[in-house]
Amino acid sequence: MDDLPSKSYAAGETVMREGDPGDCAYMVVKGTVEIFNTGPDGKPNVLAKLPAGSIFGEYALIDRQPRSASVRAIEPTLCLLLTEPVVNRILGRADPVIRALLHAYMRRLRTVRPPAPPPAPVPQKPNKSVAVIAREPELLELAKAAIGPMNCKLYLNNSGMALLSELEGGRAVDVVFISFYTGDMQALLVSRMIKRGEKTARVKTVLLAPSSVKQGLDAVRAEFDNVVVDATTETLRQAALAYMG
Amino acid sequence: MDDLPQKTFQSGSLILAEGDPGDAAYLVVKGKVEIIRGTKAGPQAVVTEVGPGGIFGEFALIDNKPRAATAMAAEPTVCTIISREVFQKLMKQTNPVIRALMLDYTKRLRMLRGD
Repeated sequence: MDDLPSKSYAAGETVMREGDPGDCAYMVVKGTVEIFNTGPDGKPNVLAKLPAGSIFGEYALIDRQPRSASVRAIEPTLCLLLTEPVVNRILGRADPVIRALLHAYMRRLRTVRPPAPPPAPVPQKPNKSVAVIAREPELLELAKAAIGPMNCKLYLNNSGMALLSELEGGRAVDVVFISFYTGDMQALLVSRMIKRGEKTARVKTVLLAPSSVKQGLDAVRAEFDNVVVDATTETLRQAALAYMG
Repeated sequence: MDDLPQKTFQSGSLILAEGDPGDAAYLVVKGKVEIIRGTKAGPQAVVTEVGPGGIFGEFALIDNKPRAATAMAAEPTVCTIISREVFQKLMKQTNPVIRALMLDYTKRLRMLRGD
């Protein structure tokens, strides 16, 4: 092993830094190193102390990811620098069975990835928009007339239904369902769908006669910050995305 | 390595079967081996082929899980059989750098496989 590249470190000297690009592994020949990362309080958080004979930074030979932790010498230390050519040189002298096995395990590590972290939770915002679902085209027209050209969109029946299913029971938007009829089947379906999913969206069914569309929608606007009116799946999607931020 | 046990397989013969307990890895000396995995639909799919110098069944040396795939000889094939005992013996004679790397990588693989 005398012919392998090595480097000496004084006590306290940094060997590698978290986030640095990694292209070699190290083996401690003499001395001791400390592996640490930065804790939430900004102070170093010691993960391990490695004596002579230990290896670290070896994942760089598998996958050239940035270093996941920092390392420093805590006493005068000598390390071998194990770059890929150096490792291959040593492997060339190893038993072919060991050589084949190490290569097989390295290849496996390259292909077997740890599972991806779960997606970040959707931030919950106060109710900023609301999907209004109307069943009847004439109601949509009445609603548009009643609300006027402000930042309101009204979503009409089936397209809204389809998207609500897609959004897993209306999690993304609060839903106000307006209808001419009591016991409107679609209103019941939407309510049930959302309740079954135990989502946090509020569901409100506003029953309207054609003559009371304006009062009904005024009540809706008093309760929600922003009422969005449109008739297409795509605009409901956009509103939902805006709501989720 | 000349003293390691070898085994000869005829073309088309089964070397190891998915679900079997695993106790050794195989190094292909001569021939060709197909690694086959059963699919939900029933028919089997060839995952990969291993030729001379290649290795298969190597997880048996690092954990106790059943074989994840089936290996069949695609032509007359000779394999060196690497039992856990042989592996341990070879590791003892290996350069300490390689031994340390091997121990680390097998530990990581074991963790990834949840064993």
